[in-house]
Amino acid sequence: MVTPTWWKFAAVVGLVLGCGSDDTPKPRDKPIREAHNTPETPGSAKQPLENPDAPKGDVQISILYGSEKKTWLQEQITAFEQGANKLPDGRAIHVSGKPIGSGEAMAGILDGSEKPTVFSPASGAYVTLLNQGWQSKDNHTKAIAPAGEPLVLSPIVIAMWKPMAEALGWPAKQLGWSDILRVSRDARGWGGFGKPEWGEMKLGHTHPEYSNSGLLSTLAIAYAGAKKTRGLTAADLPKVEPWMAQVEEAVVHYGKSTGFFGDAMIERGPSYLSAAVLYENLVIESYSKSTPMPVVAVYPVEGTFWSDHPYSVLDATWVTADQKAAAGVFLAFLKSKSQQERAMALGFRPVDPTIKIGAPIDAAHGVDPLQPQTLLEVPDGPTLEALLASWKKTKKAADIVFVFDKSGSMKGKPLDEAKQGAKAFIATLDARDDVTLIVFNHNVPPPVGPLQVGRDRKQLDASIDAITAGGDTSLYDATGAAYRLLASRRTASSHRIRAVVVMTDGADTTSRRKLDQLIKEIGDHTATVFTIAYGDAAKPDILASIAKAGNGSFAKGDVDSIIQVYRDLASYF
Amino acid sequence: MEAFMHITRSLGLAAALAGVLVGCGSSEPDRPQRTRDNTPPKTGAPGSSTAPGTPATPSGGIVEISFEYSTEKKEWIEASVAAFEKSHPGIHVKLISKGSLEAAEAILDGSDQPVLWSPADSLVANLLDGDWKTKHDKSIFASTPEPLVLSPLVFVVWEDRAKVLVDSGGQLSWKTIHKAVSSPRGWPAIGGKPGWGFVKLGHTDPNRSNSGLQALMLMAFEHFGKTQGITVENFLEPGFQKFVKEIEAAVPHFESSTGTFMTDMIRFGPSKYDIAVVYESLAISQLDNAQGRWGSLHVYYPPTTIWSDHPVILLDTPKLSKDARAAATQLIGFLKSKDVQGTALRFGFRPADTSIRMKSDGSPFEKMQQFGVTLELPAVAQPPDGPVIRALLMMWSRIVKAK
Repeated sequence: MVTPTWWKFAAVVGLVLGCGSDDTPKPRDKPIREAHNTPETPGSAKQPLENPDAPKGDVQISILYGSEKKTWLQEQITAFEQGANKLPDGRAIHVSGKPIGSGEAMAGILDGSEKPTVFSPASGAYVTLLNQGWQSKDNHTKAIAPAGEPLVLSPIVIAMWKPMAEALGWPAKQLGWSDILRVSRDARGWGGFGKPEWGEMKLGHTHPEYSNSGLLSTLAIAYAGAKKTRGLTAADLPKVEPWMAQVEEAVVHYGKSTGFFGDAMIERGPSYLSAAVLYENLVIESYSKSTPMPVVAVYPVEGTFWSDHPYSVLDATWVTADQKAAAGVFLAFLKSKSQQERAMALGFRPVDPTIKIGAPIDAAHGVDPLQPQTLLEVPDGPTLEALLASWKKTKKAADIVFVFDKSGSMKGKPLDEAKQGAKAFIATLDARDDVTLIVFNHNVPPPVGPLQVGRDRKQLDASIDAITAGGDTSLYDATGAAYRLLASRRTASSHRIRAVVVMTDGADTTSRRKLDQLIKEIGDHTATVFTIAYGDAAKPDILASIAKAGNGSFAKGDVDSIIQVYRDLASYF
Repeated sequence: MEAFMHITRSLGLAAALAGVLVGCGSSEPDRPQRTRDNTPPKTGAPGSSTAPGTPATPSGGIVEISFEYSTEKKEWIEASVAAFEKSHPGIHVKLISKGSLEAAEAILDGSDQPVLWSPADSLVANLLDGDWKTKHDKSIFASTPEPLVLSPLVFVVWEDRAKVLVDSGGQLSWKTIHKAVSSPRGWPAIGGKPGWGFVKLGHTDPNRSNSGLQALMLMAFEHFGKTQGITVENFLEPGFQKFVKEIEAAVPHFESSTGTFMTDMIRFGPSKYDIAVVYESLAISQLDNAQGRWGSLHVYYPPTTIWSDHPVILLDTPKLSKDARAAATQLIGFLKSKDVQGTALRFGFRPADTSIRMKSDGSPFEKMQQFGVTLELPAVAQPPDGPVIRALLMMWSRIVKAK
């Protein structure tokens, strides 16, 4: 499994290559995002791709692909199989596909758990990253993944509620990052634009150390601050940092999944996010859902990036010449006109230049087919490293209340692993972040903290190490107490991401509060509530409903995965 | 991404250097002749005397010849050769479609030994012949190169951008482009919209693709105000090197295939490239597609252009038997016959046979006038010899960091 450090490298190199993309799976069928153990994430992602039932003599190929194009590609695989496509010598071809986050797909190929015929991430950057990773291990002298042809395209945009974009002068004026700044810098927030009921500017972009779309947002913000369109250098950054800090203040929280922001923005409405950095096809997709108001794509006047979905037939020992030929037949099928037209119907821009751009890539679906008009120039590696350092300095700090279940059922390995996970979570936070601990059973003791991660790390670790298991579970009371604590600090931590992170291994047994009371209590969104269901006895439905009410996300973990679940959660901060 | 692709062109540095130092390959018997008024090169080399449609009667059954040709004219060649085989049942043509520089490299190292070769232009033909002479002390040409079809190198520019460029410089030229790309403020510096960002030029990698090599060559011709007689010494001038370096700074990527590059211009529109330097034939094939995507693309002819003259040449390799030579000569005659030449128009090429009317009904040259396509050409540069071309490529590799 990849570590945050590794992701940082991935994101930087990805951007050096001029590609912006996401890295995280995007299951589209759940009302509440399970950011972690969805069927598309590791753990469950190790089933073989080969179909053992394929008739002998037939050629079986597998495609491991970025989940953004899941709907389209699943349809095409079915259509291809039904079309009885064959090799020139008459043998039949069978295709199996697996949607997965592009970064995870790459990590799977590198660690040997995935051996696909074709790798098709969201962005060409991952093809190069895979080659770099591949050639740096096991004395591989040759690249594994050719550049590959793009399958479908989608630009990266700032998705914004239409009335908000209009309040900023859209569509007569082409908006950019400076317009986000205008609202976030205004003490009255949207009130300064005649809409006090919208509150402050609430922005969603992913964590730049985990996701390319987050890094390119940061880069675009820096360019806007430097008033440049190219040639950003490390020397520009100190002057730009105050600007960056002002934009980052608008961020509700970070994350590693662009898709998460897309779904959550639609589900939760403008009280949760005013705008989020998304793929254009997600804006189009929002028109097939019920939304409180329409969403439009803002193509930042400063420039943006494309997600290009390359199709790379691997040059690997496990790929036979027959499979390469079969993969070529499948590629030709995917590039054919009707398949490309179907991709456009789903909101992607077709790669076939003979296809005229038409609905749904139009104003009726919130997008402009004549945009983007320019791309940002990607600076060199050292400048990007400096940019990330500047982001670390200017990112919105977090005030987190950590709610940790120590009831009797946690005894033994579950508690040991959860402690490791909690410490890994804290280790991933920024030095400026504050953490308060509430370690509960049937009692909800006074909170420990706030402790600053940079200064008080030893005390935090020691407090976690000292936890012993015993007692019952007052989950709702502990969560409610944590939420109230953050509400009471509302003024003191007004420039911070305020979040409650709850972990429990069972059902509530002893709270005075009822679930519906808690849900009502956290519904004013003074802080965001994230929940983790730990082990089989936890109640995922209840924890998911708490996260939903708290505008946060929910994850499931077990003894084997809890450390990673905590680490993933840290990407929100 | 391409920065990470390992690029090796084995038309090697050492060989090239030797070529430059020794100065061989400077005789010019093989170059197609051109008239001074920029009309296309005259045809009339040995092969064309063969009447089209004459069936081949090789002794002992079917003769197979291999014909390696550049990818730009694939559709025309495939259609024409299919017709040829039908009328010449005794001849089988094995077609190999390959990028010109890649083909030159494969021929030089002996891995490809086609009987007939037709690269995109005389630059590559001269380059191979120069390198071949350095290596083997003789020419590889076994016939006088004859142009099959013609296409000049052009600028294609999105209409709104083109207007700003023309307003800023009078005529679209390398000088105008140099001025436009030189400002760190991008488009607003010359009157364009802030939303257009910086000025993005596109041409292919001159070490891997002909159109890139032609673009580079034209920068030199325009900079020195010449249409012929460019020298290795010219390339050493710091002013010229600075000119090239500053223009090339505006190229986001040097793609390796002109076709893919032009397709990308349609796919990504002005977000990726404002100006592209491509063959007129390729521009013609994509102008309609551009309309359906981003709006009008306009064709402009640089003050000095250069032909992709698609020379066809018999190669002096062990595969060139008497039968093969006879069959290949018949194929050349067929491709240069009036009927077959006429079909080239459909694919956006100018026929090498100048007696063919270009503006016949349905000709793209009629239809595409609205986008700036014209029959009137500016000055056309004469391709220099192999060692001079090689020296320019070396200069480019040295001063322009691979992207």
